[in-house]
Amino acid sequence: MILPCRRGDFVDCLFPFAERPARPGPMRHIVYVRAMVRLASGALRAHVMLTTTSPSMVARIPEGLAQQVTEASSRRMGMRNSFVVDVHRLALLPLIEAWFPGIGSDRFVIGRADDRLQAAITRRYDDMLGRFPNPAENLGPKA
Amino acid sequence: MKTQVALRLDAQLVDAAKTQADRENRSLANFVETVLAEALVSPAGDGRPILSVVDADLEGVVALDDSGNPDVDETARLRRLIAMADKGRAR
Repeated sequence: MILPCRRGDFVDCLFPFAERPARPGPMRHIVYVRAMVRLASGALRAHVMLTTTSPSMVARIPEGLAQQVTEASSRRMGMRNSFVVDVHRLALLPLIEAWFPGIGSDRFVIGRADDRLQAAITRRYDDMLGRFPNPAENLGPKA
Repeated sequence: MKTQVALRLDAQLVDAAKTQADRENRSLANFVETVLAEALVSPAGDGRPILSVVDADLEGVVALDDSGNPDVDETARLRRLIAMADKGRAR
């Protein structure tokens, strides 16, 4: 199976407002591809995390869920500016041009996270998932 | 799609916005659009993830590895995320 992007890639995305998840957002954001996902129907989705360079957006990220990327690291990974990966703002989006304006072009993938950054994001992601009870576990038989 | 909007704004506010837009090497329109878009992003809640989805049915969702094969650990994470997240869904 040939995938248009893979875990660790940074791509351009019209990330939606949470209140309007079915509509592409008004502005391009670079997102971090956490995983490629297949639905039961066989359709592919990209599981992405929002990134931002805006201090006011960073201020809205819950403690411990912002992964800082320095300018030097950003340049090594193919980008220019320092930015933050917002581990807690995510989306599952169809891999079509309406959501990913650059898809299909050879410049779709803007950069790629190195192993260290991918591991750091995974640690924060796991931390976030561990903060709240898992509803599925709550429904199981009591030990 | 872009829409043209005529606004009556305080002159000093516009000057300050122009100065900031210049500092950030962008147009006033782009600066205003960015600030507006950021203002409309939901505030941080209790730390629960905010997941935007367009599909009504995520039953049986599977995360894939780089070869396109099921990734068991990532699928477990994803299913947990879907169960716990504040979800914005298509309406």
